[in-house]
Amino acid sequence: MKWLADAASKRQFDRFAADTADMLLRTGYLMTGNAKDAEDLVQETFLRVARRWHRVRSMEHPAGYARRVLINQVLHDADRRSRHSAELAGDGSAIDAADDNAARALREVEDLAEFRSVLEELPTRQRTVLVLRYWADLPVAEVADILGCSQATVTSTASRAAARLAASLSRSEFHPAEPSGRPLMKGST
Amino acid sequence: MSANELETRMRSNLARTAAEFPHAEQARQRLLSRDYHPRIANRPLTVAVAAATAVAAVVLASGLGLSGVLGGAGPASAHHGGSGELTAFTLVSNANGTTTLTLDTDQFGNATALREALAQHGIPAVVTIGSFCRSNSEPPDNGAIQIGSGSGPGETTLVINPAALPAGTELSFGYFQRNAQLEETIIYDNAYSCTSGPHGF
Repeated sequence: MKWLADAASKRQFDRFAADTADMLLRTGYLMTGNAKDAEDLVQETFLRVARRWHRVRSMEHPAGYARRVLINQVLHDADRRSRHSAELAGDGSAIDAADDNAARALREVEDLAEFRSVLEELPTRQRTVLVLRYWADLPVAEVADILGCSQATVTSTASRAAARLAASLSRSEFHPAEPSGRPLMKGST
Repeated sequence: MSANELETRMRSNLARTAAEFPHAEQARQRLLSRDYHPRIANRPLTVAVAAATAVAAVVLASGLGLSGVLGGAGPASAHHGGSGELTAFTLVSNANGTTTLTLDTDQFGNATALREALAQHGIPAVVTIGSFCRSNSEPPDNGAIQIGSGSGPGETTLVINPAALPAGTELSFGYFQRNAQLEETIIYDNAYSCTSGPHGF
């Protein structure tokens, strides 16, 4: 490959790809809800990072740069992806009430299916904030940097997304939602 | 559900969803075996430029605001070109002698404007659209181009140090509209050739 001009660069990039592929795949999966799309996203991400590898490798966090490249692709593709939003909806299986443990386990699975469904229905930027903040565990400031917005916008976006998720999750809880009285997201950690 | 409960549930559900990636190791191995070449995808991999209109508008608005605040970017800042076309890039001089180029890859389309703006910042460059110029062997970088932190979707941010450019070299930028991508490298100013494919194809 021409942009990994020497064997050392290729080995270095191979190691980087091996180290980050799993994280990027799962980030892509959370962002799209679709394994094939996630794989395509990571493939394109590696391609773009490889083209600039001789510069990316000297960055403090090359993996963070790759994640940013992936997220940017998703944000660009948001409108097209929204047409596929129902792909991971629950299958409506009935709960076998004869076995309490099995019923509880199945309910948890349904909760997750509901969660995934709501997650996919969120506007892309809301979903991005949740994934970066609560899965990648990035501080508010870094999420704001990736999205090119203020920290306050990240916080308010997360709050809106959380409110939608809360409404969904509460429907499958034994008790209804209650106002918390505190913002969901604190400042940068 | 309290805020703490909700946050815990979100973290838990996101982790469980991520863990459910089907056949993740196989997908990982497929990726690593492809040598990072473009694949025949099951969906278009190129960035859907049209789909990014809303986001790009926000980014562009931010860029315009930034250049307005900084002021010093002068004619190199994002601005409306003579035909009303948005050039969609900013050049900002930094105190240490470097220049930060931020380019909106969805909106860019004026190679001449970028080349002239770079020249005003003391940065010699060849700028092409739909092709990319490079020397047979890339001159030493010496830190002349570094990737900036970037500020949002669809933007490429580069920090350029013209003092680090080796003698007899200049920058080469190639922009490809079909995937809204900017390629950059250093070239010998009297020994380079241009091809219609991005670097590596």
